Amino acid sequence: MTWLEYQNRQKIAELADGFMSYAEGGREHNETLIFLHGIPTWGYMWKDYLHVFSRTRRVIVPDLMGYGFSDKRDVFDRSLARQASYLVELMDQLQVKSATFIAHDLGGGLALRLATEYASRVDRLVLVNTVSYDSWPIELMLQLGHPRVERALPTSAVRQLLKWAMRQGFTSRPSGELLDDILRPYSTETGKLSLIRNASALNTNLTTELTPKLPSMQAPTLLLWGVDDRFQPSYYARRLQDDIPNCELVRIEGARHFVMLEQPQQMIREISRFLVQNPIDKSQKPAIGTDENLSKPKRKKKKDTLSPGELHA
Amino acid sequence: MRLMPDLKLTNYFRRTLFNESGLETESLLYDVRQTLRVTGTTSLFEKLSEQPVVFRETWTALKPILSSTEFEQAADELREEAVDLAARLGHVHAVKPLDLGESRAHHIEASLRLYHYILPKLLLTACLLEREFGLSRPHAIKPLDREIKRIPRGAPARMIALEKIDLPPADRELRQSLEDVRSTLGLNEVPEEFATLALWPDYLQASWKNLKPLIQDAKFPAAANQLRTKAQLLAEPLAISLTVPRKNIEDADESIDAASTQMRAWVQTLPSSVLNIILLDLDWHKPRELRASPFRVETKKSEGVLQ
Repeated sequence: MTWLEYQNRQKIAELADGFMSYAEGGREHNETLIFLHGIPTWGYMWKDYLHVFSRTRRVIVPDLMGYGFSDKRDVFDRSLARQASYLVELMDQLQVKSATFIAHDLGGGLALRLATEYASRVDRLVLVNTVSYDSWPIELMLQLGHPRVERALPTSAVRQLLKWAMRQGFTSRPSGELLDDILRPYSTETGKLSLIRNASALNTNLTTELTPKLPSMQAPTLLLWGVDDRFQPSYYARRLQDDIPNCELVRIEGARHFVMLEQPQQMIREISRFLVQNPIDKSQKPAIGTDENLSKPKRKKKKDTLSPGELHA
Repeated sequence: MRLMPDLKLTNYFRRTLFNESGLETESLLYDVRQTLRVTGTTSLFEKLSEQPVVFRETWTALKPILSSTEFEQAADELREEAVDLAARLGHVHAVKPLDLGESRAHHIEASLRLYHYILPKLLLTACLLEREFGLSRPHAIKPLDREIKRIPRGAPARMIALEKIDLPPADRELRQSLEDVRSTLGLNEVPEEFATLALWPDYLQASWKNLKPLIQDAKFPAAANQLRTKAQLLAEPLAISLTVPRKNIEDADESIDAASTQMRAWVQTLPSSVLNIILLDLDWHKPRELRASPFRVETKKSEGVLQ
């Protein structure tokens, strides 16, 4: 699926501070999964997962505010704290009482905030090479976040820098087309400035302050970690595993930071297993809008798998 | 993580942090955006800012007019005329055959609304400056006998970010489409509104395919001429309070003639831009909806003296 085909699937939610683009599938199902991207990416990273998991669950993949094709004006707060409230606002609009968050990189830090600050909205967590504690921001993002970068660097230079950096997140060199598609929303002056503002909003305090709260987390948690990650080393995974109760760590060999693109089959298998082994409390009220589906004939149970043909679509 | 050896950010910072010469222009461009109530810098002012002193002197003189309710009302009136003219030219009908998706449709429609708001204001501005720069020497200000009421500063709350692709695009097909736009319109450069529409190449190509024959019809230039005349008439009462001092510009060795040539070109080309955006917008809205300003400002007049 190209970036354009993916964007074609996206919908719009009007929030108080601006609009959010999101992709959605499997709306007829009760259980909701929300996939969260990191920086400098967007919901497109999860395109294959949207396709697979929407067969059996409702899947929502937002572009965070300031990212992807969500609002990119220079007028709102992009901190993790504010992003968490935007997500809750989106969930309210889409009538999602609670969800399982599958989150990568910065999105993982956001999911940790949701699990500690908005615990009732989080069923389970899958954290993929997530930022945590003081593991972020990386040096490149610190420098990118300087306000003068907008004047100092043309869009083409920022794109070149990001492509170089992103290649470090893959074990094998990714295709130029893939990187172009991932960086597409940031390939204009407006996109560049938005990314700079996103980088300047990165604040390690917003995960370090969660440290005393991690041992009280209720949500079952799966850590999926590309062990060769240069941005988020695996010793942070071990620290999270120690601090979060009911937390499982699966190390994914032969993968770096963008493990969801490098090892999708294994990722999908592990996520599916985790979801099945940690069912949500049945006494919870189902998401609004599904009651009318109760009378529909039951469908044959589908599997969460990705065929090779689908993987490369 | 080590940075690329040939792209050290620190070198860029050293150059920019200790080089303040661009900051005045940057501040003025910010002031322009806030005054015009738009989320990005438009090409007219980008080009004008290439001569920093011309830009500073011009903006200082221009700002009181562009921040006035009278200017906003004139732009509203010009927009209404433009919609009436465009509605008689035909329809593009580009949207329905395309599968745009909700997000893309949102972005396109919001971008058309932005240009529908700002282009009449830019046309009026160009008319003001064409007249002013065309004078052999600045005339004395004729003070008005009433106080000018100001419109609120800042882009409207729901105006989308003004976004354009970098030109020329890498994609060959898109490059050819934009080249066709440029040459059909008889311009030296791709107009900025098409640089925005190029963010959605399939929409650009589908809409241009149907827009082009409307532009090439004899009714189009006649409508553009009529709109230009209306803009010049509306600018006339505003222009009497505009004087751009020449001395600082001459001392800085910058050229009023170059700025004058620019403004003459804008006055020629902007009417087409205004009409094109409306023709595209008619796919989304009826004419009576488009006659109203998409970002309306309260524009009541009051009595007083111009400062």
